[in-house]
Amino acid sequence: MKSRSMIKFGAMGFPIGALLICVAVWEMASRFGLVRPFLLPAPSAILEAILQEPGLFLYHAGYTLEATLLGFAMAVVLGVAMAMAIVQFRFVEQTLYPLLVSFNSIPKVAIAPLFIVWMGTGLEPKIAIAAMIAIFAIVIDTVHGLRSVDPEMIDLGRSVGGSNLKIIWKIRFPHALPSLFAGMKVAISLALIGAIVGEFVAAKRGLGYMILLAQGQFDVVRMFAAMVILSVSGLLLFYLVGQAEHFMVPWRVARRRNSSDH
Amino acid sequence: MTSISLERRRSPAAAESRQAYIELCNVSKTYESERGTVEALRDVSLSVGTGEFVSVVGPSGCGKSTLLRCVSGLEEPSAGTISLKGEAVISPAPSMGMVFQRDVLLDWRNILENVLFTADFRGLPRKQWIGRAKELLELFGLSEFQNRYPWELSGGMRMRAAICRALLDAPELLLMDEPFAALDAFTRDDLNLELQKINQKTKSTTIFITHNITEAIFLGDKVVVMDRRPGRIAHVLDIDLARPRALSVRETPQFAEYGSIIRQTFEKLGILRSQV
Repeated sequence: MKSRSMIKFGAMGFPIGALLICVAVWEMASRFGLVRPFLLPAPSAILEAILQEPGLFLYHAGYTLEATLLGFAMAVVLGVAMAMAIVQFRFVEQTLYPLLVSFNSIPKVAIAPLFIVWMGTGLEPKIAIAAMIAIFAIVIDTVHGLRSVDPEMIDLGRSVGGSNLKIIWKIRFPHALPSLFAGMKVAISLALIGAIVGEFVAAKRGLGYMILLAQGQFDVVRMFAAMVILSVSGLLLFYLVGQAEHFMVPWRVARRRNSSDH
Repeated sequence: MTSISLERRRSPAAAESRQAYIELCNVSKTYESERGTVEALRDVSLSVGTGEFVSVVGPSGCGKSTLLRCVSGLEEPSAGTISLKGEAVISPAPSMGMVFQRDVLLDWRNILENVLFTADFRGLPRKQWIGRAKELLELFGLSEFQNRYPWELSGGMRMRAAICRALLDAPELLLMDEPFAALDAFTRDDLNLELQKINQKTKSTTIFITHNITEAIFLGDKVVVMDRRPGRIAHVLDIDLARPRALSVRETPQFAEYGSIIRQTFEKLGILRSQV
């Protein structure tokens, strides 16, 4: 018989266990000279590098996270507005939607240098690139959510004299929240990629800049340290969106739990 | 407005004459689809008196729901006229409640908030309607569930909440589109009784769509029998059974007689087979 806490341990314990084993093997390989520490430094060395200058890493990570979060916020606001317009107006659906889809097929990395030319080497182009990469997931998922409303629910709103605006705001939008969060979970990771892409092209700060700089100096330890911080940030951001979902869409979370219990 | 009574006072004159509340005159409805024109309703004329309960019974796809949607003002007839209290229907009436086949409760609102949905959408202040909402929930045995969310309730309880929502502002007109079709037989009987009870208080003029003959007779002052697509009225039967009706009324000879008239109508239409 498995108790609830056992299952809970399994959910968290197995991934953490797998990670620890990977790190241990890596550490061993490095210590016993199976790989050259110059190419693949030991995890302990990476950790040491981070702990030696935490302020420096924090300084660069803060910049990258700022671009990521602002770009993400922009993608959410603009994406939701666009999705609503697409669902509400046939004209917008026929013009904006195909444009958006074809625009999405352009590799964003290829557009990034252009943004630098337009907006300079400050924070703005990074925010713009992050938003540009993230927005597609938001729009697609939100449109899907807004459309999947039961037509009888719309009839219900109309039958009590609800205006289009009220139906969008009080029926369609809350109904689309679970889909919006699904899109946001994808978008937050994409926004982080966007911010790094922006920094790769031209920057004076940020984790992406740090990696490029370290590469120039053949400082592989620092490159790894920046990557570790980057992946921890990515995990943290994803977790935060998940927590926001818990808070904003309790009905969906409860239902998901119910259905997985059976 | 301090208290909202469940009873709506009607002038005695109106009650006596049973003046027509809804008047359908040669109503037809056709849809254009990719596979051509679909004729959902043909030449339907019907008059429903104030406070009357009319059941509409017919096979699937006979245009029953289309009829209801036209009366509600959610859809426009292709030909003919529909009027409420003498005025042409062009949009949903200000005093109308609708119940659909699915309960369409909003997942993000608890039961009390779901019932208050009507007030929110009509732009009425919640404060004044909370009392009435709780009164309705009490009547339908949902008081202890008012703070629960729809997914925590059974199908029958959800449908009760949907009916409370429709009745919140004591609508003059109540339109029900196969509300109990998805429920089990026991819950259905139970809700038939409850609907009758509340309707005796609110006196809402009601159109009730069903494909269950027994339910149609049990609830109706009048049963409208509809033919298959294109939907036409085949027969209108007055039900003269004293109210309140108990479930046992279904075993009386008079009830059986009504049932057999409706069955024979369907047999003549070829919707039911007369031979085994």
